[in-house]
Amino acid sequence: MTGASITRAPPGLLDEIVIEILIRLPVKSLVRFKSVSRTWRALISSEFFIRAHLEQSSSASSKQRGPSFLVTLHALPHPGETQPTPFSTHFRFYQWRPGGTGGDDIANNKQAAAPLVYETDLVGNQYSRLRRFFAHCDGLVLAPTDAKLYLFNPATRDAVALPNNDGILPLQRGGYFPYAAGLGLDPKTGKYKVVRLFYRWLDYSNRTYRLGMEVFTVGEESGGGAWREMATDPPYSVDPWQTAVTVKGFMFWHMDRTRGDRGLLRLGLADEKFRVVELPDALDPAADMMLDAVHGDELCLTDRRTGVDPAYGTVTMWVMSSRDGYSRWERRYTIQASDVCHPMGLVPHDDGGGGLVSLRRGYELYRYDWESTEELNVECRMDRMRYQERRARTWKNMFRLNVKPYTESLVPVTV
Amino acid sequence: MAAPESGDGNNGAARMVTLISSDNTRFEVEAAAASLSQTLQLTILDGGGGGGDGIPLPNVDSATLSKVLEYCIKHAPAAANGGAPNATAVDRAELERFDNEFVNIDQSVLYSLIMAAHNLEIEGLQSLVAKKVADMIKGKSPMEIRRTLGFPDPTPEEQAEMNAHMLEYGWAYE
Repeated sequence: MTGASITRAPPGLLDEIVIEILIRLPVKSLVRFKSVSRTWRALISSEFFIRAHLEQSSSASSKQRGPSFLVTLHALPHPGETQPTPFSTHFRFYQWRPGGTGGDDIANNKQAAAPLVYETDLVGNQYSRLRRFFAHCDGLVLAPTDAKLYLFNPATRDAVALPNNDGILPLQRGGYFPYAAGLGLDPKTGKYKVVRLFYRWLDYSNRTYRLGMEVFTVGEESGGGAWREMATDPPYSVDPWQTAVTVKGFMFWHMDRTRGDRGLLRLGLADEKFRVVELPDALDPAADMMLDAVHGDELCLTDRRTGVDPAYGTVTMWVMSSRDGYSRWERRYTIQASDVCHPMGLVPHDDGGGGLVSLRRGYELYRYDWESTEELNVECRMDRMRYQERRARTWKNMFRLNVKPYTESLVPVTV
Repeated sequence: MAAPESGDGNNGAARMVTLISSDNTRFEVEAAAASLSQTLQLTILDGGGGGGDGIPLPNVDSATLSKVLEYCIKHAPAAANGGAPNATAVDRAELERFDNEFVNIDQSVLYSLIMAAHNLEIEGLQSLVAKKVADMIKGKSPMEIRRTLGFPDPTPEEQAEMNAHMLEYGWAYE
């Protein structure tokens, strides 16, 4: 950061031009530039700027740079363990960009590298086991654990533990709260909402219960810092431990398959109303399926059917988009794969990307080009990747890996 | 691909318009290229800029204008195809290569360019230059930014705030 030659910008460089430049900067630079002047600090902290910056980085990542991923991992500290015992409150976030820094030479078996974005130990909080998957929305990350829900903005290095609601029936099943949670943007208010399912009552003997849903609005000025019960109760239960998949103002969960319910439960974040979404008619009820958000506003349901050859199955991806108000499935892609894959990002045909999809299976990320090849190309092996802290390291005894498409943002996490 | 049929229902040879820089230099370009400027588009659609009239651009000097037009001429065919959904990968790679070369210029020229792109409302050029400038300043210190923008030296009070910020957000300065 030693100042080389400094060329003066011409006087009268318009504010609009300054903003055009600033929205293209990484979050780290913007955090630093808050101290350029009071005006810059106010600008960079303003809701208007945060939104403009986010829109710019989302469109840039979909158009030019391709998706980037946030990786969190949990390793078993002691050999021979099957569960990460006294699992800490230590969180590490790595960012990985296919073909980006250090990751460009996978073909030559050069390991990809993911730099550490943020690492924190939320000491003083209850120890937690991580449950299910993280949720990502506009640079915010929701980490559901069995003790608390944590909310992060890894790029600005902010972290908060959401308060627990003591009034809620503390249903403990083997010590855990099997709630389902979710994170999303309410398009009406522009506020981020964390929701979680809870039991009003539950009778173990005949498996009857009544559910409620509560919501925590992030950065709410009045009445903030607390959970609020939604007026409408969820009409169905969902798979326990499930983190919602969120697309453009709607959250989706699998309905409780252990009860034989078939379909998705949809929550509108603006009106806080529920709706049941049918699965595609042609979907084999017995098929494994995955729910993912790809490409911002599309909900993707992936099923897998076993083909004639036992080694290969047919994976079909069904897509629902905001254009139809998330009410109609469209069969979009069919690929040959030996196991269920998570779609992680799509490059649509008309974007000039030639039709590429990033898929994840276990620790591997694939790239599939259905126009030119019929096979999956390994893009990266997450378990062998170099995780770049002060020094590069690899992780042995990987227990769980969360990989989410990620856009860094300045969105504040305040309770 | 290089055929001069750049749309807008014109028949025969491409229509030309004349642009006049602040220092009175006349530039004759295809209407399709000049129409990348939202500011000029309406005038051109209404038939302006042809013949001996020309469109005066009092805010843009000839050095900057010739650079702007270099960009417009290169990008006009793709723009005429409506964002080029059927452009080949080769075409796209060629445009990208051109763009990278194009902004590899002196900072002072970049600043004139971004002002011109802003005044003429040429979206693609504006974001291209903004991205370039962002890449150039992203590693700078707040003090360097102040000097670049010609801000006065910070008052002792401001300096104290800057130091406090640096202490609190040391990671952003690494």
